[in-house]
Amino acid sequence: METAYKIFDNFSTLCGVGVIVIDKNGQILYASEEYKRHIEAENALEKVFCNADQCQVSMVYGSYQAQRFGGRYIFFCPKGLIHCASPLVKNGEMYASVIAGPLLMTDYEEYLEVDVKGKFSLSPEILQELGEKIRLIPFISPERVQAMSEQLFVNVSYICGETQKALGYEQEQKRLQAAISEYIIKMKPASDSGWYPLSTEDQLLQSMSSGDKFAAKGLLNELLSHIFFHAGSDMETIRSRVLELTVLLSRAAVKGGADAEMIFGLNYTYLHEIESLKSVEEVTFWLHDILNKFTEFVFNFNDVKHVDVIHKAISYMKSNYMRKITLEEVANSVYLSPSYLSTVFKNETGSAFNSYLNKLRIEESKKLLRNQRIPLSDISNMVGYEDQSYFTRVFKKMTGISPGKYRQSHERL
Amino acid sequence: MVSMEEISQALQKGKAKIVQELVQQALDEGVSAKTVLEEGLLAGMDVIGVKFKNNEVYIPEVLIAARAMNAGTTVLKPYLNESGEAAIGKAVIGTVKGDLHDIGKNLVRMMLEGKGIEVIDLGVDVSAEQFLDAYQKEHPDIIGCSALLTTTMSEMKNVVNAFEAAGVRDKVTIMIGGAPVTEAFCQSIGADIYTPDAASAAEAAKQVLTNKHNA
Repeated sequence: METAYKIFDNFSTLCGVGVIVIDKNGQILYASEEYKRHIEAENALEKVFCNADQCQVSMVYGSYQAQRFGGRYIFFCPKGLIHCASPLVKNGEMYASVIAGPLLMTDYEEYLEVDVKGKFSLSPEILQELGEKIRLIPFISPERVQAMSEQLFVNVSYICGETQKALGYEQEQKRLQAAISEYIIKMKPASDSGWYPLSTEDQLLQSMSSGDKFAAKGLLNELLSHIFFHAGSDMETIRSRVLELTVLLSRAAVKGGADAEMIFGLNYTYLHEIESLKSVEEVTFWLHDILNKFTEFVFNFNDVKHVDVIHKAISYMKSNYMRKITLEEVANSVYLSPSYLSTVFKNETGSAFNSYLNKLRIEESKKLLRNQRIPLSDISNMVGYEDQSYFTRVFKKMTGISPGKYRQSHERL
Repeated sequence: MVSMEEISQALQKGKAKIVQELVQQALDEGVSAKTVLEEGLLAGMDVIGVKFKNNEVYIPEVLIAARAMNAGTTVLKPYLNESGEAAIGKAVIGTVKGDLHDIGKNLVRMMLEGKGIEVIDLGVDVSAEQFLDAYQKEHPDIIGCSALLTTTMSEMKNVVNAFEAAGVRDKVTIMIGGAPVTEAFCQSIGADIYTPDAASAAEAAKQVLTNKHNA
C-alpha cells in the first residue's frame, strides 16, 4: 500500500486536489498533504451542515457506484462538493477506495448562494468567514474533472493490475446498452413500428459478408433494440431471435469468404451457449462477440493496401459481369498489367480473379432464379456465361444444388 | 424579456444561480410554468443529453447541468400546483435498484404534486423490498418506478412480483417509465400503466385517482 499512497500523493499534488483512501466502512486510511490543506474549509462547512456521517456514507456509496460503473464515479457529496472515486479491487472484491476531492466545478459565489444560503439562514459574519474558507477548496473545470477521473482510474489500474479487464468489460456493456437504448427511444414515437425489420437484418448480413464490421455493429444494435422493444422481458422470445441471428450471421460470414468448416465448428459451440443467456446485457454482449469472431474470418476491405484498385476492379466486374469479360479487360480498366492485377487481387481478397468473378455471377443468377418468370435457359446468358452447361456446373459446385433445384426450392416460399 | 433560450444556455453551463434568477424573472413576466419547464429547462437538458451521447461533454458537465435543473425546478415548484386543496391521493415513487438516474423521477414528483397528489420519494437505487416496505407503511394508491438503463428495467418485474407475492398487487396501481421502457414491456411484466414522460404520468395518475374515488 505504501507505493499506492506515494502514487496518490503525487496525483494529489499534480491536480491540486485532495486525495484520500478509505476502507469499506469509510474510515480514512490515508490522506494526501493537499487534502490536509483543505481541512479548514471542510470543518467550517461541517459546522453549518452538520452531516459528517452522511458525508462518510456518501463516500462509501460513491465507491460502490464506481465499482459498478466501470471503475470511476464522479458525484456530489451531501455538502454539494464534487468527488471522484475509484475502487481498489482484489479478486473481484473492493477492499478500499481512493477518492479525489473535495472540489468545486461552479464558482465560489454560486456555491455559497445556491448550496449554502439557499439551505440555511446564516449571519453575515458566518457567511463572510465561509466565503473565505471555501476558497481553500480548488475550483476545477468540468473538462479537467473528467480528465482527473480518468487518470485516477489509470493509476488505480496500475496499482491493482488485474482489475482492468473486468472493468473494461463493464464499460463495454454499458456502451452497448446505451446504444440500444437510443434506438428504442427513436422507435417509441413511431407507434406503428413493424414487428421485425427484415430489411435491417438483410443489411446486417450484407455488411457481414463484405466485412464491414463497423456498419454491422450499428445494424446489430438496431436489430437488438427492435427485439428488446417487442419482446419486453420475455427471454424465450429473445433467445429464439438470437438463435436465428446466429445462424444467419454464420451464413453471411461464409458468403463473405470465411472458411465454412471453421464457421460451422464455431456454430456448434455457440448454439449451445444460447440457452445459458439470462439477461438482456448478456445477449447483447454475446451477439457482439459472435459478430467480432465471424468478421475476423471475412476479408475486410478497410485493411487492404491496394484498396482503390481492388474497389475499382470489382466495381468494373459488377457492372460488366453479364458479358464475357477477361482478366485483361478488367486489368486495363485499372491501368495494371493482367498478371499484376491477378497477384494483387489474390493477395488482397484471398480469392483468385476467376473465382471471384464466378462467385459474383452465381450470386446474381440466384436473384434471377428466384424470379420465376425468367426462363431458366436465359439466365446463364444474363450472367455472362455463354455455355449453359458450364453455368450449371459452376452453380452446382458453389451451392451444392443445380440451378433448377434452387429455383424449385424458392417456388414454395 | 427573458427568453427560454437564455435559460437553456445558463442550464447547459451549469449556472444554477443564474437559472434560478432567470426562471423567477420569466415567471414574474407572466410566462407559464409549463413553458419555462419545457422550453427552458428541459430543452437545455436535451442539448446536454445529445452532447453527452456524442462525447462532446462528459459526466462532470451533466452533473452541473442537472444541478442547475434542480435549482430551476425548485423555483418552479409552487407555480406548478393546480390546486391548494387536500391531496387527492398518495404515490410512492423511486428509481429502481441498480439505477441512479433521478432527473426524470424528480420531474414526475413535481408534476404529481402539481396535480395535488402527495408524493413519497424513495430516491434512487430502490429495491423491490423497499417499495413493498413503503407500501406497508404509507398505503399509497400508486407505485411509480423509473429506470433509465436497459439493464435495470428488469428490476421493475421484481417490484411487480414482490407485490404479488405479498398479496397486495391489486391494492395499488403500478406505473412505470424511463427512456428504454415501453408499453410492450409494461404489459409483459404485468405493470399497470406506462407513460412516456412526466406530464402524461401526472395526467394518468390523476385519472387513476379520480376513477378510484368515483368507483
